[in-house]
Amino acid sequence: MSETRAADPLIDILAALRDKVMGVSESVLATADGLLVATDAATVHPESVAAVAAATLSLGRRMAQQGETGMLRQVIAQCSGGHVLVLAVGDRALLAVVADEGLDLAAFQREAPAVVEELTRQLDADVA
Amino acid sequence: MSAIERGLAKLLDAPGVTGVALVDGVTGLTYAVAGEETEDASELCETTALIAESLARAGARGEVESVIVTSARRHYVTFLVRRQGDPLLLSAILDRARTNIALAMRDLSGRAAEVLA
Amino acid sequence: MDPGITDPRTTDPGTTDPRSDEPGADPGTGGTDATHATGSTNATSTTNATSTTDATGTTDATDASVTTARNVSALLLALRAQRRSATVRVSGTPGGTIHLRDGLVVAVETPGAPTVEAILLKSGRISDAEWAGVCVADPSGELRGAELNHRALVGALELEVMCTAAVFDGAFAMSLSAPASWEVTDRVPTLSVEPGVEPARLTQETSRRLALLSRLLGAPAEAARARVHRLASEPVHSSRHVEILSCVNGRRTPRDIAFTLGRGLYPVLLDLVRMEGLGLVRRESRTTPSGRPSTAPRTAASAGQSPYAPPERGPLPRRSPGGHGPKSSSSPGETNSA
Repeated sequence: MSETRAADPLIDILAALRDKVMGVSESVLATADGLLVATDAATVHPESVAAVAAATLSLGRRMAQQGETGMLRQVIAQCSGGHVLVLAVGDRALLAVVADEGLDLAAFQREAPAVVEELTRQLDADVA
Repeated sequence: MSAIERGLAKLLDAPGVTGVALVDGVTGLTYAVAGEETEDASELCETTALIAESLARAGARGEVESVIVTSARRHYVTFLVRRQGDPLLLSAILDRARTNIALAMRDLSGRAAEVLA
Repeated sequence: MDPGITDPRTTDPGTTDPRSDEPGADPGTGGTDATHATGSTNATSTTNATSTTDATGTTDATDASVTTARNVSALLLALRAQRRSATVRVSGTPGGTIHLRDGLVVAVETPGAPTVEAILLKSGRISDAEWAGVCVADPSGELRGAELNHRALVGALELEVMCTAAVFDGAFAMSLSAPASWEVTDRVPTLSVEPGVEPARLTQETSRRLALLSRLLGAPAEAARARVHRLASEPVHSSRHVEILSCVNGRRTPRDIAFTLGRGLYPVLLDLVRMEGLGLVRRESRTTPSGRPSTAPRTAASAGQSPYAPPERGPLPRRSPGGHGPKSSSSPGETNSA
């Protein structure tokens, strides 16, 4: 009865985030320079999201520099129909999360660090 | 007084109307009642939905507009009010002695349209 | 009673629903009264007690009944007795925010169900630009209803229907999860329904909804978060069913579908129950995040279970409508901050 999970453990981690946090609908894992690594998505175009997310993170960092407000933690695009969040995953990757208006942001902030860590470990394991 | 209550109060002016209620057409939640209380709202909602479904299965085209149940002394009328969003049910109790059902239906549905516009 | 106009929202429905007392629930203290924003009155130091018997009969109007409330329902009754205008922030997964004016519930916000604002925008009844205009005209948020009406964007009666429905839907969505803790803070402006809903009525209707869904679906909490799949094509008669099917993609849960369509969670669940009966969709049971085995979709036989039996999480107290006691007693001063 259950959905067949992809063999890719990265996708499992992304899908688990969707299960855990109410409002998360899709996510894209990309390299820091915008190349798609893995995705749990249905309606967005993953490659495009990866590219724009990388640019967003990069701009976000420069913004933080300009504002002299320390290290960027995440960029949240708050929109009339939902949110898009972008955060770094280690030094060389990033995560873009698409969510609806009812995103449980508190839950996301709670779960994000662990998810980022799991993703980092998995990515490191891949290149090891 | 809330806007819904004010609106329903106006409907009580219609001749023969002794009670009105505004009910959610999907959840059965009663938004407000004026005058005499009608029957249990969620049952009303389920009954109307059942009728609509049976008719659809029997091949009827279009949607149910109203349901009238007549007893010795009263008519229990339920109008389906379509709007953007889930439909509403406007339910009214009419005193048979004081109303001609056909006229009352037209009158009531006209007033309801004004009120709910 | 004379045949005057009765608004069931403010009619005294009698004593507290006894089902809101959970057998075996942790009787520890509930959340705390929060520290308040600078400059505002510290509500805990002013006893707002009236000596007259209040509408609900059993709840007294003192602050003690607020701080010792065992669950959110009891808390709301106590605040109603005090005629408090306040904001109750409930933390949980998900939590939510309950807005009170004179103790009546005027708005509920939660990740579990769409707000009126979300529904207005999603349904296209108003555009983003129009909404922005309304917000600019009323930055406090309190009078947005009046502003929407004034600009002929949404009629007063229509808005009242939407806000009332959203209060019940939000409360229902919140009842599907156990609160970790709660705090009572000052009122904040919000798009709201006046005069607001009696907490006792809210609890009563929420119980009714939970019981009904349990009979039809098994555990409602699971049902709201189960992924929905399309089944082989059957003729579809209802326009609402057609609309829901357009959102079903094997990933979205009923809650997600509600947000996508800009409809309430509870009405969407009701429609999905019907659609399942008609063979149009099926629900997928899911594993919990911790990887425990999934609970299979309930069959008709097991659906008669108590709606208050904890479905997948072991040690939590049994569910009750409108809220639950905290998992562990928290010492005064310990506040859950998001």
